[in-house]
Amino acid sequence: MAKTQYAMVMDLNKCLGCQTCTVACKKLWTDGDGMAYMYWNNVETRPGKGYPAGWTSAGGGFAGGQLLPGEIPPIEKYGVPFEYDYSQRLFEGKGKPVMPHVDPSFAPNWEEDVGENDRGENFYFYLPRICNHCTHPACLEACPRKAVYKREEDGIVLIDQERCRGYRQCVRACPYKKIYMNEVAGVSQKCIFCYPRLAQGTANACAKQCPGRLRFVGLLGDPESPVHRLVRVHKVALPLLPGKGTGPNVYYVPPFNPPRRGNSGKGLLEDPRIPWKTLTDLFGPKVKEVAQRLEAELSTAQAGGRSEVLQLLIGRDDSVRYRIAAKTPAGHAG
Amino acid sequence: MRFPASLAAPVLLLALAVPARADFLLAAGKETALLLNRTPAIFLTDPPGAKTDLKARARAQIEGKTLRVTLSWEDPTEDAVSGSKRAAYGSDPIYRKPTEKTDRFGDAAAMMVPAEKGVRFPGIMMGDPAREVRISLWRAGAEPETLRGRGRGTVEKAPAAAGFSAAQRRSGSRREVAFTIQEFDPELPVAFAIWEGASGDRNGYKWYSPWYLVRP
Repeated sequence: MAKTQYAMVMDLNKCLGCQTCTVACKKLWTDGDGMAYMYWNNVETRPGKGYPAGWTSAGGGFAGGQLLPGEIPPIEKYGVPFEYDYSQRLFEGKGKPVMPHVDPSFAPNWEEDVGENDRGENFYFYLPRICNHCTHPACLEACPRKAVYKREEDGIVLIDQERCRGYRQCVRACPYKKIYMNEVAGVSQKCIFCYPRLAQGTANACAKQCPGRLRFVGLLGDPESPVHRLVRVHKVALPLLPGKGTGPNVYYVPPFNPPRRGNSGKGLLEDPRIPWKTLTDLFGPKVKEVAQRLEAELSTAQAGGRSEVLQLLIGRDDSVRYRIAAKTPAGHAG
Repeated sequence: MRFPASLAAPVLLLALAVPARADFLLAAGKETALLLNRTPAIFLTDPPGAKTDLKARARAQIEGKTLRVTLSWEDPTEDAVSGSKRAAYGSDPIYRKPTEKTDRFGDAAAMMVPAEKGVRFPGIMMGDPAREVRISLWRAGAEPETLRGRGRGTVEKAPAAAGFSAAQRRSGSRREVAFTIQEFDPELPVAFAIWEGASGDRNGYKWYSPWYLVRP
C-alpha cells in the first residue's frame, strides 16, 4: 500500500456529458500511433453498455483475495476508430462521397442519452471514468513481469513501458477495463493520473478542463483536501463497483435528485426517477445512505441553512476543488 | 566388502531417475523431432492449454564456430501484433497508425542458451538466479531481439549481446525460423520455445523443449 494516495471525486449531479474531459485527455496523452481507440478518460451514458461495451460484466478483480478470470475485449467492443476519405473526395477529384472507412456499429458513447425507461419515464446520467488507481490493483497482481507498479509516494498506478511486453494479463484482470493495448508499440497503456502535471502543482487535465467543475483532486489522507472531506468526513462519495475488491481511489457523488415528472421538489428517496438497482449495481448498497445524507444537506440549504457539503460540491474555484501535494506541507498520510 | 545384490535394483532405478544432465541430442545436419511440453497454468485465471501437441523439428548446422538451428513447425495462421499496416488514408500526416486488434497475439519462437558454462544447466524457464541465459527471440511483425534472463519474469533486453540473430520464412503452411549464434561453445546446450498467437500464447503460455546438446 502506498504511503499517500491521490484520489479524485466526481460529482455526477454536475456532469453535462460534454466530453471536454475526454478531449483534454485525448489531446494530451493518447494522440499517438496505436492509440486511436484509447480513451483513458471516457464519459458514458448510464444505464448503457459503456466503453468497452459490457465492461461491467467482463470479469476481473478479486474474490477472496484471488484474481478472477476476465475478458480481453476485442476492438469491436471499444469501437473501431474510423477515418474519412477526404483526400480522394477533395483533392483527387473522385466523385465518391466522404464516408467512414468502416461501417460503424459501435463507438465510445455510441448510445448517448438513450438510458432506460421506468414506469413511463426515461432516465439516464453520465458516468465519467478514468483508471481508479486502486489500492489493491488487480492489474499489478496479474502482471507476470511486474511492469505495473504503484508509486509509494502518491499511490498512482503506472505501467513501466520498458518492462511491459504486451501480454495483457493486466487487461484481463482489470475489472474496469481501463488498460489498453497499443498494438503498434507492443505495450499496454493507461491513465497516468497526469502525474507530470501534479508534480508541477497543476490538477489533472480532465479535472482542470471540466466546465461543470465536477472533479475534485487531492490526497485522501490530507485533512484539508476536498477528497478527504467528501469521502472520509462527509461520506458522500463512493467508489465504482466496490465489490470487485480492488479498492478504487476514484469516488463518485451519486446522482441523487432527479424527481419524476409531476413530483416537483421530491427527490430520489421519495419517488426515484433512477431506480435504486441502477445505482446499487454501480456503487454498492451504501448508495442509499449517501443519497439520504445528500437529501438532508439539500433540505438544510433549502430551509436557509448552510450546508458545507453543498458549498464544497459547488466547487467555486480551483482552490476549493484541488489540493495538489506539491503545494501542501509534507507529512499527510494517504 | 561385497555389494549386496538386494540393493542393485534400487541403485539402478535411482541412477535412472536422477540423471546428471540432459541427454537430448541435436545431431548436426539431421532433422530432429523436438520434445515439446506445454507450460502449466500460472494463475487461476489462465485459459486451458492447447489440446493437441505441437510438432516441431530442428536442424542444426555447425560451420566453424557458428551454430545455425532451423526450427520449423506447422503454422497455418499468420498472427502478428506489432507493425500493423497503415490504413488506406495513411498519406495524411495527421493520420496515426492504428491498433487493429486488441485481443490478438503474435506468433513467436525463441532459442535459449546458457550465458556461460557451468556444472548444471540453467533452469528451463528463462534461467535461474544463479545461471543467466541468453535468448534469441523472433516475433511476427517485430524486429528480432536478444534477451537475457535469470528466471521467470526477469527477461530483459541484453544490452551488449552480439552474435545472435534470427530470421523467419514461410514454406507453405510451415513456418521456419533460423537462429544463428556466432562464437558458439559446443559444450553449451540449447532449448526452444514456440508461441502460437492464434491460441492466445504469450509469456508463459507456450511450448518449450528441454535442453538439447548439439553434436557435430
